Amino acid sequence: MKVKKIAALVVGAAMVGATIGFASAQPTVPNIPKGFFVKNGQPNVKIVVGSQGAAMDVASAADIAVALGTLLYTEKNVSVTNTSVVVKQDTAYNPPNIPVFDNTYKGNYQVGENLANVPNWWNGGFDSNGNPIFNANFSSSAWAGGVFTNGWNVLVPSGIEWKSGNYWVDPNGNVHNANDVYLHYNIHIGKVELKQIAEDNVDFTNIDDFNTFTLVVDDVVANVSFSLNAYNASVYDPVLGEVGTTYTLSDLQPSGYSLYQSGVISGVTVGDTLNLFGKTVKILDIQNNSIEYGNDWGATYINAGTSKAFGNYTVKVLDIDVNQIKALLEISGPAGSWKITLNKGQTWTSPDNGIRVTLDDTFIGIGGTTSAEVSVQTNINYIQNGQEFIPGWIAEFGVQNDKLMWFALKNENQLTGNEINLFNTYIMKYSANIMEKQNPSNDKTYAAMSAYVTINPIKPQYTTQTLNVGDTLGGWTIDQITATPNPAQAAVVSKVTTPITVLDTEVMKEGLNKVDSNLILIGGPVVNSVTAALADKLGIPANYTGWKSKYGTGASSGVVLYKAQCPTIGGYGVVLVAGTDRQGTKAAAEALMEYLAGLH
Amino acid sequence: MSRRTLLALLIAVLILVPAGYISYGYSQYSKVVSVPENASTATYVVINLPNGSFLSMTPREYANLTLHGFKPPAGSRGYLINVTGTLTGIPPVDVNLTMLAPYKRFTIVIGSPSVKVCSSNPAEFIGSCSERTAAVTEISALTSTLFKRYYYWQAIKQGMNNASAKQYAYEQTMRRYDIRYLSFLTKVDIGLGRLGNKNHLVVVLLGPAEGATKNVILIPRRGTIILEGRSDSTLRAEVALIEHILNFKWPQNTTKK
Repeated sequence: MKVKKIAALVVGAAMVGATIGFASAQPTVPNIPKGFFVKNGQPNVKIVVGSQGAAMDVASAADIAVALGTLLYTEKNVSVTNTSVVVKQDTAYNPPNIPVFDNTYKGNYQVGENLANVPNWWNGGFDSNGNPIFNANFSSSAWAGGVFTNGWNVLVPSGIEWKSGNYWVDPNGNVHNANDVYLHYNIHIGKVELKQIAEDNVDFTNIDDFNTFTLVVDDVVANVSFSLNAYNASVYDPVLGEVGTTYTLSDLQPSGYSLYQSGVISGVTVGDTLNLFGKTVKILDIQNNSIEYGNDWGATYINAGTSKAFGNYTVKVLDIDVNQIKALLEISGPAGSWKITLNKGQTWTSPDNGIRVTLDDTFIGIGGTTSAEVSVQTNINYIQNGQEFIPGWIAEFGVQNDKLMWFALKNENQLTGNEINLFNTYIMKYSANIMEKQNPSNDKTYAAMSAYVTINPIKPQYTTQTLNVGDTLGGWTIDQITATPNPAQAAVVSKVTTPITVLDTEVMKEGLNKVDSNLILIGGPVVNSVTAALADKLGIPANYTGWKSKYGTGASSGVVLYKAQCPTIGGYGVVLVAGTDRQGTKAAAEALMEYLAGLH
Repeated sequence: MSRRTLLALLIAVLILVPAGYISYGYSQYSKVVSVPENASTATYVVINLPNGSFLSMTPREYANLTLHGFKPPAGSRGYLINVTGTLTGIPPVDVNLTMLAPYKRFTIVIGSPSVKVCSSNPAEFIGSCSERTAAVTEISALTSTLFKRYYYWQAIKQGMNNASAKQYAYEQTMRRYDIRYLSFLTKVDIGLGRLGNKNHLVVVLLGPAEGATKNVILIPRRGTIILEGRSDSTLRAEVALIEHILNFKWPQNTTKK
């Protein structure tokens, strides 16, 4: 019994010693983003093994490879069973253009016809319904003085995405989910000025002066109401007639439906996610004049001594006091690293507002493992009423009963330029189509022009559709889908395996400019010719003597270096794992492995 | 029975029996790694292209390709590799069964203890340290990538979210793998079937330093895969061939950062 106790003590002491030794000798790993190793679950990196005949620790390389392998989630190629084609169409909403001028002849002109009676419009005049009408002179047109003040209204359907847990039960007992809906928004453009006309810098007898104009745009408002209405329609049976009522949820009245009840789902609540004018906003808190948004990771468990990654941030639980329900946490991120102690229910936010951690509880598991339950939110931002939301655009919103009811963007300053950017979604531009012809009877040149202020989407928005043989597209039927491969080339391509591990000589032979992924370099410049070629960029000594004098020997000589972008290899990143000797390389490998563990 | 006889019996039980067990295991090791006469074999041509990628095909496919005008680029290295299996009679299926099955542990045997000289004096290593490192790295990354999938799925089935399931799979993998040298005890463990069974995958690399005489990927039983190559670069080609047989591809055209 005594011998057993002594043996246990000796083993225990050895373990403690080993732990302390390991901890003290372990090199520091810089903050390497997970995207360096893995992007969308796929490897974003190649392991470059040195081949220059100097020390190379095979077991350490294997350890790194095992750790890296656990991060990767590749998908096997899906075998093709049915051939199909995918077609795409730009479905971004294209708002109507604002007419400025049009005197092009649309009819079948007959000699003697009085063009004054032709029902075309020009000079941009509109009737009370907003339809373009004839105006005999410029001064009575909507563009009198070069300024359009009638106001131009655009309804953009399906422009704002709203994700929530909302649903509505109709009188038939059917549940209508509104988990992911697209709402319309309205744009009102109050004033558009053709600057050169307004400043009287246009020669009205020279058509070339109408080719381009600088726009001055003001009083632009884009607003959305977070409300869904219930609409109903009768269901008819061809024999029995009306047999019931069907219901649907929508922000706009669908064709054939009547309004049943407005606002059956109304208001954005905490936890909902909006895509507001290109910005994804997950709502964390709603106040009357401020909306807090960010990435909510929810509650998660972290064991003592382990860490978890939340985007660019890592939370490591250093110690847990289960009795007093408190935890010592180390939080690292792009702006730095912080050690904090949290009691149950206590919340801490990093100085850069990048991460917020709340300690919910602490536990002891059946196996004796202690864990902390923490709630984490990252990338915290605010929308303030009356403050800029996107550059040049002010946010205004309405809150009722802790719900966001409407949201609007207004231009901060008057917008001037040949092209006007509307909240990163549309471009406004003056566009003229001028036609000139010389009259052979009198040698005079006559001109006609159609001109608009166009409002076009900045980015196309593609909707795709998969078509198989037999499907129709635009009046055509897909009869067959053929592919003509080059037999030898296709066969070779299908048989090529590209390992994740490459030799430095292979990289050098292909050329550093051909590198097409981030690199983990195993071994210093003496071992690895790629490391040697990049030594200058990595700021490391290029020979053994320099390395030894800078980093020493043994485990403490282990180095893990990270360079986010290396111009020599086309801007890809580099992680160097090296040491002066075996112990150094091993220590560096172990440090990188531990770092990889925290990236999950 | 006299006390001496009792003592002799006790010694026999305590020392000779375990020693016999161990020596039995050691003797079984050589049987495990040798190609059985009745095993099925498929032959592949593997070409290491100058850019580090590998082209794997059957000799017939290679002949067809050359008839279509294919020529390996200058600087390519070719290997003729046998895949031998005893499980199903179809060697590539044996490779799939062995590498894709769920296991409780896995061990990569990176070679004899002489591999350690790669970290002190590579010139003393019989073979190529860099090619051995590349082969070991590739098979380690491949094996851990495949191994952890079952723990990931298990976690997903238990209701964990994607991030937690990945963390769980990582933790399970890191505590369930071993990198070992082909020492006496490792040989005993393989011979006794403690390494290389339905619960414990073992991948053994045998190159020139271990006295390899053949280019073969051998699957002598469930959970055991032996990569034997007359050169260390052949071992690397054999790992690439396994990836080809599994139809496993590390995705290409990666993005920056």
